[in-house]
This record gives sequence, C-alpha cells and structure tokens, in this order.
Amino acid sequence: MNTSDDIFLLIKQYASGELDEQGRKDLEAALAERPDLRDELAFTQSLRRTTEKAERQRLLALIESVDSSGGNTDRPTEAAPLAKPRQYGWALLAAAALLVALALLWWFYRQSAEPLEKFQHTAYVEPSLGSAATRGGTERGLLLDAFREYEAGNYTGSLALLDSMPPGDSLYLYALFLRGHDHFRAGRYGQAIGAFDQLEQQFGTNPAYLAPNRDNAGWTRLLALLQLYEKEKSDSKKQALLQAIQAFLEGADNSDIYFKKATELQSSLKGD
Amino acid sequence: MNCTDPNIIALLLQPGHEAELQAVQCLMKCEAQSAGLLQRNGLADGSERRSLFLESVAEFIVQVRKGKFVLTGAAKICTYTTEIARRKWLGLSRKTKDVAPEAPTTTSENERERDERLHEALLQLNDTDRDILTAFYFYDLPLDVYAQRNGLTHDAAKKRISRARERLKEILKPADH
Repeated sequence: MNTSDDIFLLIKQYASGELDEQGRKDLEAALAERPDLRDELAFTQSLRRTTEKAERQRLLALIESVDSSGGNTDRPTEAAPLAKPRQYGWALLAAAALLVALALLWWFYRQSAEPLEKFQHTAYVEPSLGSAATRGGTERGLLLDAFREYEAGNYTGSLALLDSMPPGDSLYLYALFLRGHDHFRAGRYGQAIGAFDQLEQQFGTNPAYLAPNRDNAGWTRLLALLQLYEKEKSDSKKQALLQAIQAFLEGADNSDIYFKKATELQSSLKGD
Repeated sequence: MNCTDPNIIALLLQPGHEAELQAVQCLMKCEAQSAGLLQRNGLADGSERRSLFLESVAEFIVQVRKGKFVLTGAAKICTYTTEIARRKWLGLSRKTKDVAPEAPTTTSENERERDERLHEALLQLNDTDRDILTAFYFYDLPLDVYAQRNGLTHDAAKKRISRARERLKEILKPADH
C-alpha cells in the first residue's frame, strides 16, 4: 500500500474503522507528518458524508416516483367492467345508449376529477431545510423552531415565528420557502402562491447550494394553483395553471421528480 | 412480479436501477401495514404516515445494502420496514413534545461548506461514477464484492474508483480557486 494509487484505499479503510490496531497507528503517525494525507483524509470524510446525503435523497426521490406513478398495488383497483348487454331488439339499443351515456359521463368525470384525485393528496412533497438546518445564520434557531411547528401541524405558529425573521438574514430564503409551505398546508393557497412568488424573485441572491429546493417550491406553487382551479373550474384558471406549468417545466431540472409530476399534471389537465 | 422476501433482498443487492425499481415496487406493498401501525400509535395525519413510510423504505434499502439487515427464516420485510416507520414516529413525537434543543453538530463550518460543494459536484457526476463512489464510501462495499457484482477484476474496480475521484476533483477545481 505504498503507491499513491493505493493511499486512498488505505485512508478510506481508516475513515470507516476497518484498519487493525497496528495499521491505524502507522497511518496516524504518517498523518501527523504529511499534510497531503490529512487533506486526503478530510476529502474522504467529506465524501462519506456527501455520498450518504446524495444516496438518501436519490432513494427517496425514486420511492416517491414509484408511489406517484401507481406502483403501489394496495390502492383501490378499478371498477369491474360493465356486464354485456342482452343481444336482441330494443334492449340492445337501450343498452348501447346507456353505454354511450356512461362513457360520456366517465369522460366528463375524468376531465374534471382526475387532477384532484391524482394530485391533491399524493403529490405534495414535504419541504426540507437541507443545509440550512446545520448552516450558520443569525436566525437559525428561529427557523428550526418554525420548522418544528410546521412538522407538528401548527402552521399558524410557524408563520408567527417566521414573521420575525429579518429580510437581511442569510436564511431568509428558507423562511419564505417554509412560509409558502405553511400557507399551503393551512389551505391558504393564494398566500402560498404569494410567498413562493416572492421567493422566486430572490433566488438569484444566493448560490443554488445555499438556497432551498427551487423545484419543490415551484411544484408546491403549482399545487396551490391547482387547488384554486379546482374550486372554480373556470377556463381562465385552467389556462393560468397550464401557463404556470409550462413556465415551471422550462426552468425545472428535467431529471427530478417535480418535473415528472408537473408533466403528468399537464397531461391530465389537457385530457391526454 | 416476484415479491418474496428473498427476492426483494436479491434485487436490492443487484447492480442496475431496473432491479432496484422492482424492489421498491415490492416494498410499496407494505404501506397498508405501516399505515395501520402508525395510526394505532397515534399518528392521525395520513400524509405524515405516508411520508414516514417512504422514508422507512429508503432506510430499509440502506440497511440491506450496508449488511445490517440479514434475512432469516422468521424475518418479514414488511414487519421490519413498518417497525422502522414506528420508531421514526415515536422519535419525532417525543421531539415535538419536549421541544428538545438541537444536538450540537460535529462538523465545523469549513467542513459544512466543503460538504456542500462536494455534494453539488457529486450530483454533476455521471451515474456510473456516482454509483461506485456511493458503493465504496457510503455502503462500505469491499472492492472485491463490487468487482464481482459488476463483472470486473479487482484492479479494474480500483481504477474505476480512482477515475471517479479524479473527475469529482476536476469538477471541484473551479470552486477551489
């Protein structure tokens, strides 16, 4: 294990506690003398933490995508097919007319009910504070308290705490993000949209890795618009929603679950 | 689809995303059992039950791949996954009630910043590179086992890790300056 090619293997074994007593002592002695080995150790430790974070996020996204694409076989199955009509005279005509009527009813039902059924209850994705939970920031404690209130279902309490977050704080974007989620979960969809719009305007003020998940925010905003559309069922609301979905798809990461969900919602609304 | 317990484990240990996807589809069948148990333990909110269940499936997959879950004759994957969800819920509900102070973090500010940059870089790698780094650094998969599962020699697997690390460092370079 002397070549530079093998050093990273040795250090990884040390970082994961796989080295025996003697190997550990030898390496610690080398670490004390060689800064390059210390750098490699720091890199390895960081890699262990970040591969864990990335892998857990990937798994969760995969599981959620299976869930939303109907992989869950415990869900209610479709209704049994209609019985065959009798084969003669007026009864046949009546049955055919009935079938046409049922098909039309089903079509109208599908047009109107599918977005709600499919997206209202299952498509919401809980927010995550990500790096903000551990990052510095004057009001980190305040944000964590507000998030705890959100998790406990006390959205009003969470919003009250977020009200005292100063706009200059480095975690302010997260406060806006959580505010949008609080309003959404409390059923105040207009205010949720307002919070996410405000957040969207400020995204450029922080590097992407220091900001909340933009696609999660955009997707939750779409769900809020969907709720407003479901209340009114007007053409104008539908058009506004379709335009918002299109705008979201143009800016979203096309490999994440939100892009996929938005595409499905767009298809459902268009009746594809 | 064959959703027996041994087959789920076999699928989770196979390379490739198709096998993983099938395993997840099987695991999703445990949701009703999980929801029932969480409800009996006082979790009334359906969406929270669902979230906890999804997290538990992810946790179960991690435990299988880290070798922490070993299938015995009596083991039932749904029962095990459901138990993970229940423990998560009990931990969460205790935290909510006690409003416990945040545990001090063990990483420094510099380390956190480094982790953030590395995480971003990791997401820019191709799937093959990210998979091998994850297998090696997160799942602690021995090099020989990785090589065997992927039809590689020991040396080829080592080179693959080495190249993945180099590409990761390449991505990190601009941010380092």
